[in-house]
Amino acid sequence: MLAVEKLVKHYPIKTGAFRTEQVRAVDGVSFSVRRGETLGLVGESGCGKSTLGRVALRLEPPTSGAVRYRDVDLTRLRGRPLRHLRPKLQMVFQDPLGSLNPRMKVSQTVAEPLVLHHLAAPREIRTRVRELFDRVGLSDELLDRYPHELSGGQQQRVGIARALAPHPEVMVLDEPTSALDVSVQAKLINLLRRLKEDFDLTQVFISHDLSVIGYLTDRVAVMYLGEIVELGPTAKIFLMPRHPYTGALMSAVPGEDLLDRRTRLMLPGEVPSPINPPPACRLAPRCPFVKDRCREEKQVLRPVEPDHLVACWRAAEGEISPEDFERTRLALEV
Amino acid sequence: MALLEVSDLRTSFFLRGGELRVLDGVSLEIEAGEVLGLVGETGSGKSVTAYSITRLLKEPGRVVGGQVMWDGRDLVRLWESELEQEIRGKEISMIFQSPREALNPVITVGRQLTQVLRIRRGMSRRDARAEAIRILKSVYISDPESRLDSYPHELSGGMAQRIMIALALSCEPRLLIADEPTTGLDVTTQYQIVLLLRELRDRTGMAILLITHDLALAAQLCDRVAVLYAGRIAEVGPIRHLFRSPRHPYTDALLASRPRLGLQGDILTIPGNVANLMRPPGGCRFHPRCPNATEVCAQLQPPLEPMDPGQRVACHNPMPQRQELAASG
Repeated sequence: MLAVEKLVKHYPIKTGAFRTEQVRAVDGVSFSVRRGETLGLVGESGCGKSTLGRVALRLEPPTSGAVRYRDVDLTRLRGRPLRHLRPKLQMVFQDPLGSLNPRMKVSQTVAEPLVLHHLAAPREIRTRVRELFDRVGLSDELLDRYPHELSGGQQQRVGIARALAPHPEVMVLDEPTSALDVSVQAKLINLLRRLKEDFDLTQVFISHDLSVIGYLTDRVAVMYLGEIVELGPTAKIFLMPRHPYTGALMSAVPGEDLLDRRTRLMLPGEVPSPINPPPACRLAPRCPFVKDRCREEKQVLRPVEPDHLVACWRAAEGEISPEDFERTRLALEV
Repeated sequence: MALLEVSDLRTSFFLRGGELRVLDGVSLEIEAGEVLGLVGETGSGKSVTAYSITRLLKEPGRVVGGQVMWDGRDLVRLWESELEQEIRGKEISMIFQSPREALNPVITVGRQLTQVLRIRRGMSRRDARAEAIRILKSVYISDPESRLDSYPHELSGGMAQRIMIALALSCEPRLLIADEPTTGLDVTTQYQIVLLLRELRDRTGMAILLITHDLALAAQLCDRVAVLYAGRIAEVGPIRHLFRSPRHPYTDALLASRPRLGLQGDILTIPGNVANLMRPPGGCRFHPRCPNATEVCAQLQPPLEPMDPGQRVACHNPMPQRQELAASG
């Protein structure tokens, strides 16, 4: 349905009076999303997952690479043909209030894509908007309110209704539940799951919240410093992670028993700057399993199983396994 | 005797539309060296509790009743000058959610630390610098000498929070109030802060009041937890009891509404919305959303009462005690 090929997005930033450098936000990423699937995009702040989401929907042009939607390369489209496809590709943002026009009644916000893309006759619009409100669990009484009059959960539902209005096929959700309280979040997650079925959506779900990703997605792509380091079915990524970075990330997921205080697998130091990332394997400076080859050879995604890819030669060649992560964790415990 | 004893604390916000009773009789104790978690959702009053204790509440908020006993003195009635000179930042320190905003952006980390040490602990310039380096080392900041010359914007979120902790610890407080200290940090960085706080408690014996919406974080750090709902304590007790056998329907629902891998079907949710504090429901404030509610719940506010296996619960119709715990005691 949607495929991203060798996608690169660099941002120039001024680092001095006469110097600009490149922030390598997304640096050569490839993946595809199948029809009806939910792909999770996880990683820590600054790993490039939000940039990737925006570029994949062509909200921003990439530096290089291709984005294919049903065999059309979106990166080559401009103007009218691109506008024609827009309704099919929708996005829901993290900050619901910031992504809604404060001077528009929320019903107008939801109606906007219908008007813009001539998707409903003027007299049908009100009915369509009411329908959408109903689908996302908003009461009719809120139709004529302004965004600031609604709660965070309600604002996010308006954002979802707006994205659903033009009958999209692909929906990218960027941390849609992160700003919400536990009980509000739970309701929204249930709603998103139901809508995916009802509208036959293909979703890319971006989040740093691994519990939500584990619950909602079919496959997961793990990002570190602008690159995908591991890609596979959600259960495999969570239960049998192969890349040391994924191992550390998953070790931090709260399990069934919240009171479990076993030591977790920790990586020393912090994520380096995406301006000058480590040249070969980007995790090398922090990786407990590092070898000389990791500092010399760029790592590419290789299969450990047909549907499970990892960008670590030691994992791909069977030198390290999830048991080694467990052993390293236990060593930290003493 | 408890280190801090809060009884029947009432705080209101006086708005044009009326009085918003944000805290409606909150009582809790913290023992020396204990980590108490104050867990609740937005608007539950958890941060307001912290600001009421240290009297850092801003207008239109005001403490309208209750006591905050610290070392035989009531902080609610203490002179501001006494509070500022002897207690706030000295015996009771606070850290916040956005560490980079809490630090002064135009002054180096080193000057902020040494200023505190010179004013609060009367150190000479040279002693303060040596002490600052020692403190930075104690929160595991590598190369502390050169970090002293950094400005806050040059720090990562995790490092800024560790420096905030270092600042808060510079006067060796007996109580650290940590308001959402890991919110906004990445999971792996969050865990580093948890480990640091755990170790500092063990090493210095200070008590911690952890304010959070994150049940998983509370589970990693706290000895006891108080669950707040709409300005009242719903349930308080040892973390093991609250998480393994929650008795208040709200605690139970909060724990059940977590998404996770392998969960089939819908996540359990709490019906309705958080209570409107301008016109709070009568009786138990949770009753309109409660699966166990009966007639009495709408009329009578339930008092906090001891319940098995060892917590205090404000509920007329509590959840049954879970069996496995009943057996093992």
